[in-house]
Amino acid sequence: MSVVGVHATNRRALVVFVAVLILFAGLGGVLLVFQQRQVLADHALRDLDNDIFVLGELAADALLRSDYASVERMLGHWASNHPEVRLLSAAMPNGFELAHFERPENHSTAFSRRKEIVFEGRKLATVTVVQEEVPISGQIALLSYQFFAASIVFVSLLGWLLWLTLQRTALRPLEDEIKRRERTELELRGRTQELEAANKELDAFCYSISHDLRAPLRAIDGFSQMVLEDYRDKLDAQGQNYLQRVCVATQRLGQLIDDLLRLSRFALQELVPIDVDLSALAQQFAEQRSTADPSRMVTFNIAAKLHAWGDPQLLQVVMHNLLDNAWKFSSGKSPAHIEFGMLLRDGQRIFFVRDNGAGFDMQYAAKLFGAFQRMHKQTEFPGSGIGLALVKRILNRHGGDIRAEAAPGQGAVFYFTLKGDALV
Amino acid sequence: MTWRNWMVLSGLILVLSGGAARAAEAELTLGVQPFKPPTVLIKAFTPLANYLSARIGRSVVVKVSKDYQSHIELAGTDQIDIAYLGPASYVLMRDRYGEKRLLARQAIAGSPTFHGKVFVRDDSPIRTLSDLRGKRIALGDPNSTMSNLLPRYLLLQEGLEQKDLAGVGSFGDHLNIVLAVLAGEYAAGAVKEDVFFANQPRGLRAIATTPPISDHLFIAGNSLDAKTVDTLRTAMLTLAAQPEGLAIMGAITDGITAFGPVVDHDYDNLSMILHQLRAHGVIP
Repeated sequence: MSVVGVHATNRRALVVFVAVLILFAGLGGVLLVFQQRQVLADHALRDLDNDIFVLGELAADALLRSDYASVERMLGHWASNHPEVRLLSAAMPNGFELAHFERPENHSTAFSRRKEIVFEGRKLATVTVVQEEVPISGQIALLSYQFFAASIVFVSLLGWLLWLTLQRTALRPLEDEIKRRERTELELRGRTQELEAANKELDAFCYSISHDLRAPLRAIDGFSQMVLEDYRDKLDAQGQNYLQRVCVATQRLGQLIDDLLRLSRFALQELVPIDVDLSALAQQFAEQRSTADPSRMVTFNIAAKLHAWGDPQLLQVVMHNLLDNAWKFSSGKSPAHIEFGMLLRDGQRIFFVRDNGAGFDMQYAAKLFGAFQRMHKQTEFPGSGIGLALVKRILNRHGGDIRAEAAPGQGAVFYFTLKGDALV
Repeated sequence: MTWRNWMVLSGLILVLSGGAARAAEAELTLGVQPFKPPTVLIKAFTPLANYLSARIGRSVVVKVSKDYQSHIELAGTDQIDIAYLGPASYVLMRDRYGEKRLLARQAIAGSPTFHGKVFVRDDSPIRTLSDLRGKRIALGDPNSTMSNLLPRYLLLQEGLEQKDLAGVGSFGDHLNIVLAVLAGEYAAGAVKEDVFFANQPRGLRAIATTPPISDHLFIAGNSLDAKTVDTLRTAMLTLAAQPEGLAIMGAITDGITAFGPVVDHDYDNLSMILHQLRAHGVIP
């Protein structure tokens, strides 16, 4: 599982945990609120009982001295000063309602209390009070808000602690692994840069040496030609043969030096990538060769509209070398078939150049892309052995690669990729 | 400071100190008989006291007497400057202490006379005064016109004396008489008619009505000078025309529409009734 996946899983687990916690906190809160509601209701009832007791005592004194008006006034004042009282009634033993107080009903829950005022076994009056739970509801609402706020704080704190714990137990090793990989990648990048620098130095050195070798080589070739032309009569046939061999060798060495220079020049050249029409390059090659050598029977099968992102000059070198090889190594076939196309494998584009030419033995495939490595004799197929090395270096510089499949006498296929597509 | 300035300053000090002394002795008392609880009465009469105070330029305070008897005594001996008296209290006070200067008489719903009611509970089998024989009856203060003296007079007319009754309760507050009857403690009671009508919906039924008696009145103590008495009388007689007049009077008793002129002869019929009661030994 990727690091991102692990993060997402942990987040999901955390969210579920917090949700469960909130659920439990909510249930606990509801229970607590109900319990508190009962406590408050009991408290309100006790208060009411106390009030009725005191009122009863005072009323008893007044009633015993027949001061009914005072009782009526006192109960009326008490009820009007207690907003939660919905109804108060003081009934005399004969049913007469000495005091009556009533407030409009507001549909809230109410409870009632009835107390008989008795003195020495004689019933003086009966007081009934109906009281709303308005004050309790207010306190319950306040308690609910407080509990909700406390729950939020508690759950947030717990969630935060859980997150810290998760980070330490599950995420820390992953983060350590990420850091280790980043360090490794950094080191690798550093070494790659060092390697590139060393390669550039090597290419520059190679270019310098090649360039410096050309002057003495031209001197050897020039003076050998002059001896052959100006002193031909003074040399016997063997001497002339030797000098001719010197000339051929110097020309061959010159060709090698030119190839070396090309190799190092392309290696040093700055890439200027644009969209390049590879099909057009292949088509151009086919037309040139068919025109130049009409005696050969070659059929080109070129897929249309194959484009790539790269340096146009270098990609032209790649296409030219691969098609030139196909043209060259299929010279023994008639008709020869040369094909340029593209495969899609796992979403990756793989270009290929196929021919039905001489092919080669795959056991030497490892040497195929080395400089000056040849599979065939010079007399059989001319060449310096620098072409495929050059192709590989160019493709590598474009972030691609090349490989070949072949069999002796059955042709060869060269697969190559660009822009970092891995070669399958 | 010149001699002349000294004289002016001394004169000012004398005037101010004299004024302060007069203000200190100028506080008048408005005495009220205790026909309701003292707290209720003080609240009820304070607007009138403030009004009178503004009119005469002297402070007036409300005082509630302990009972009717002491109220009669305080008024009769000029220990209160302005006395609010029930009709019987006035007649008794006059008979005992001599005539006083009368200020005004209250009129309820335009009538300067009022009645009393003898009543029972709605569900009572008692229909007439004679049915009260052997029953308990709730009456007011012995000096109360409508809750005691007139009901006794009515009973006497029916040949009923105290010995013919099972018991007589004495209440200082008219409302208590009503509630005592409603509570079943007494078979009947007697109060002035405005109290009866106010409580009739609670289950009262009248069985007798007293003759019309000249209503409550205000008298002035002999210690007041004539000018102050005139000012007080004028203030009371014109109160109904004041914007706040009805509110001031209504605070005392619901329905008072005016303080009208009053003379001693207005209470002649009551004097005669009291004379009969005295003759039969109902009152001393």
